[in-house]
Amino acid sequence: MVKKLEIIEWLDDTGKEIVHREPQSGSGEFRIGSQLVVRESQEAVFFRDGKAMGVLGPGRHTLTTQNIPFLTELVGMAFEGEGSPFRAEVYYVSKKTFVDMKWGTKEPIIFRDKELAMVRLRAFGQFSIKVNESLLFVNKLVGTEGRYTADAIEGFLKGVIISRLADLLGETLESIFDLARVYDEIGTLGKARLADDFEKYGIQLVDFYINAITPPEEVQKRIDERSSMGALGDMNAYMRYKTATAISDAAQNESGGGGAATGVGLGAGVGMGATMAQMMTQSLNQGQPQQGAAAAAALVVCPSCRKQVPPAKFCPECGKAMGASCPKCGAAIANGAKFCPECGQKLGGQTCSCGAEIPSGSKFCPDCGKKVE
Amino acid sequence: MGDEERKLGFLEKAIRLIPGYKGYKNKEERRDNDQLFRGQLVQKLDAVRIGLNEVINGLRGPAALAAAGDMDRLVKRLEQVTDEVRFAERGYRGWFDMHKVREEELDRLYEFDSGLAEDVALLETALGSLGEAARSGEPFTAHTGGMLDILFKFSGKMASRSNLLIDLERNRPMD
Ligand SMILES: [Zn+2]
Ligand SMILES: [Zn+2]
Ligand SMILES: [Zn+2]
Repeated sequence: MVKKLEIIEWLDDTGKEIVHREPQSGSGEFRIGSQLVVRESQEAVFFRDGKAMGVLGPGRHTLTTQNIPFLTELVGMAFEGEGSPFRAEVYYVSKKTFVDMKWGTKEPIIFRDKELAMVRLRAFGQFSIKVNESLLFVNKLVGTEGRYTADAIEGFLKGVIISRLADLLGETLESIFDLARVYDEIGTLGKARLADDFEKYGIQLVDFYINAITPPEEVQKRIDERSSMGALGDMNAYMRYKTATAISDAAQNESGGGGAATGVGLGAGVGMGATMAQMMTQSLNQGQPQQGAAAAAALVVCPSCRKQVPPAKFCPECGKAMGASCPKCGAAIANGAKFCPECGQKLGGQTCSCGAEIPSGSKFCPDCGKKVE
Repeated sequence: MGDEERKLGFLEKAIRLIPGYKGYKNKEERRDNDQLFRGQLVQKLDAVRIGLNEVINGLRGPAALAAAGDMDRLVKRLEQVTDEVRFAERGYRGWFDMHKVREEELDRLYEFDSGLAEDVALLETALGSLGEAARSGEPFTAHTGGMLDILFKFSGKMASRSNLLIDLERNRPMD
């Protein structure tokens, strides 16, 4: 079915459409002399036979080959006069920034972990994009990929994000136990790679955030267990902790065992457990001569699970990001807050050389990015 | 070098670096030419951003993780500076509507804008060295630091450019 168009325009009421095809289905018949309206923050791309022919910026355009030279190709030399028909599709492309788009795994990413073999990871986050080059965008996504609805394009981009993230995790991460340590870096590297990918489609990736990467519950438990030692440091500490717990578990089992051996078991078990615990404390303190006492004194309250834990980027109990905490009372503080919601302590006493105030706990100026001395 | 010669040298530079050089004189062309100039800067800054992404993407494994923090700060700063240039027009409403601007004030503005264009060229050179350092596996914190410094200075200049234009508005010369 062929549609005749005299005034061509598109107004996006939803504000959510990246691209809009005119006509919405079938092929359009346009006429020389008709008007094409392109609004601010729009561009109109003429398209035929799988190829973008040319682009028009904001304004009210009269379609003549004189005004718009690339129409000559569409019309054919013999029929350039007023009212001559020509076939094409017009793709209106919105040039505004689409913020807070969501991405997430439908199927888990399979991650090959050095220690745990295969781990199935789920991940989700947000991203913002903007079409930088309409012509490239339409050529690649409509022409090559055959996608021209906002949904189809979003779906395609989300697929690119997931597959890139899977590659990236495979390349940079040896074990899921290291994830919390390199979370920010994975985000940065992910953004750089995706920016590169999206650029090829004429799209600028304005923002990219990973909100969470979550392994299955049983793996998460093991991570929590291990990272509860995280504040104190390395694998050795973890091993010592494990030994100590194993021994105290053994002591408990023996003491609950009953029978003739009870008295011996109880005495030996408790004695041994206590000794091991003592040894462990000593050896941990050797590793961290000054920090031991300070870390014990400065516990903070996790905003997610409300447990008292040592200050860290991620809660060793529940694994959630902890954010900043009040230096006086230890209460959790929203980023950028000027006063503690619990005790009223003034926060962010430090000022950057650029004049911006630096929230407590920040390593870098939120304004200019300079490292805090 | 005499005054005339120096002036000529400066003019040549300005013409090379700033599109529509003479256009600021005429009220009608001023906005377009300012947009043209800023558009050119934005395009070059954008190219630097893409170049930085290429540097990050060229790194693998531990090297990539180690560089991520520095590069992230640099890219974010660059994006901010790019936006400062992109949206600078908002501060210049009055200046666009002024009838005439004195020749020497105009020269001051051109000199200023040439300086901005030169800073962007410095940034391009620094990106080149950063890329080389990254490829040869050398540490490049010094390079990212150097680029950050250029960006800080550039930001400062963009702010004084607005002030310069506001100054020009206040001292409206006679028609
Ligand atoms: Zn918690
Ligand atoms: Zn407090
Ligand atoms: Zn600062």
